Amino acid sequence: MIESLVVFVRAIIAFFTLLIFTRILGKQQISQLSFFDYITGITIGSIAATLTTDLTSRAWPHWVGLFVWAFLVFVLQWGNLKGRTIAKYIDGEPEIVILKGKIMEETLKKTRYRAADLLKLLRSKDVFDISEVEYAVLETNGELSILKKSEVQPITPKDIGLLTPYKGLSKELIYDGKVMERNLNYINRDKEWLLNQIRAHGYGSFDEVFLALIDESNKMFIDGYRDSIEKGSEKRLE
Amino acid sequence: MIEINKSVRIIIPILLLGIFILVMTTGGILKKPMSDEDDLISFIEKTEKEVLHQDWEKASIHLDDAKKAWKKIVRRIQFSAERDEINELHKTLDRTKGFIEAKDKGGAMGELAEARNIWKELGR
Repeated sequence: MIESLVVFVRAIIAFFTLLIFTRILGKQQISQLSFFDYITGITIGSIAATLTTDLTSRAWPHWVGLFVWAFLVFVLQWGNLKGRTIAKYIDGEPEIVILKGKIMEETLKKTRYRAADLLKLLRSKDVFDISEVEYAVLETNGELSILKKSEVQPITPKDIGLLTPYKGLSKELIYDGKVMERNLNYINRDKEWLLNQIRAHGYGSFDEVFLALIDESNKMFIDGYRDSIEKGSEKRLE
Repeated sequence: MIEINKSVRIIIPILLLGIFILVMTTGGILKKPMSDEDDLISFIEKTEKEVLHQDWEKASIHLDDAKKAWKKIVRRIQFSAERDEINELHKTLDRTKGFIEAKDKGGAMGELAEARNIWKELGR
């Protein structure tokens, strides 16, 4: 028995099984994870690690464990999507910790948060003066959402009746020297038009362009491989 | 950018999971003999017969065949069996060798019975 070969094969099994299961489980970002999701993720990862390196037991029982955990998470996710009551029961509910400028001590106690933790979360949201806060909600993933009092909120163009130009999403027309024909068709343009555009910016062919974007107001951004920054003049962030 | 067809995107993971399950669960099938040279149980039976007749020379020859057969089987089942079970059967055959050399009928028979039992449990 060549142990390293067995570990190699088991690692491939665990790696791709995890990849497939996590793809099935969806695209929840780390910031959206509840405490339970977090623990579940750790457990699934731990089972996969044992599957890879624990040669004292067969790979199959570990794989079954991995499958069952992933399946249960999938069932809970499905339940979460289907019913608000189930979602509340599993993930808990957001808790209001500051209401109309007043700290809700009972809620803090219930959520196992100290005043110092609350102040830390407020500081991470650029709030150093607690009297500026109208509402603060502790989300189920442990993050704090705040609504500042109207008098301390930053002024927006809307507040002063200023009209701003519309800005939509940019589309990639050239990515890493390759023309994105689908996007080009989407905006009803052809390669000849694109070539003229990049020529106008001083590039001879598509290969010379690293990235070309167009926004919804037809404004183009073009960046080439040869940059005009002189060698040695790049500044480094120390 | 290369676009992957939706059915291919579904088939690839199903196929991969299928291969993984096969690799992990076929120990019970792969341990079975594929030729006369890797029929471990038959070699163990022959060894037992010779031990009972106290023909130690023949018993030793059959045991060597059993060891060779086991080496071949291990290559096939190593991904689906426990390391300890594999090592234990190896050790049992080695101990049997010692008992045969010492012409100890009881010890050899005990070890061969243990080898049979490990074999039975292998890949389950």
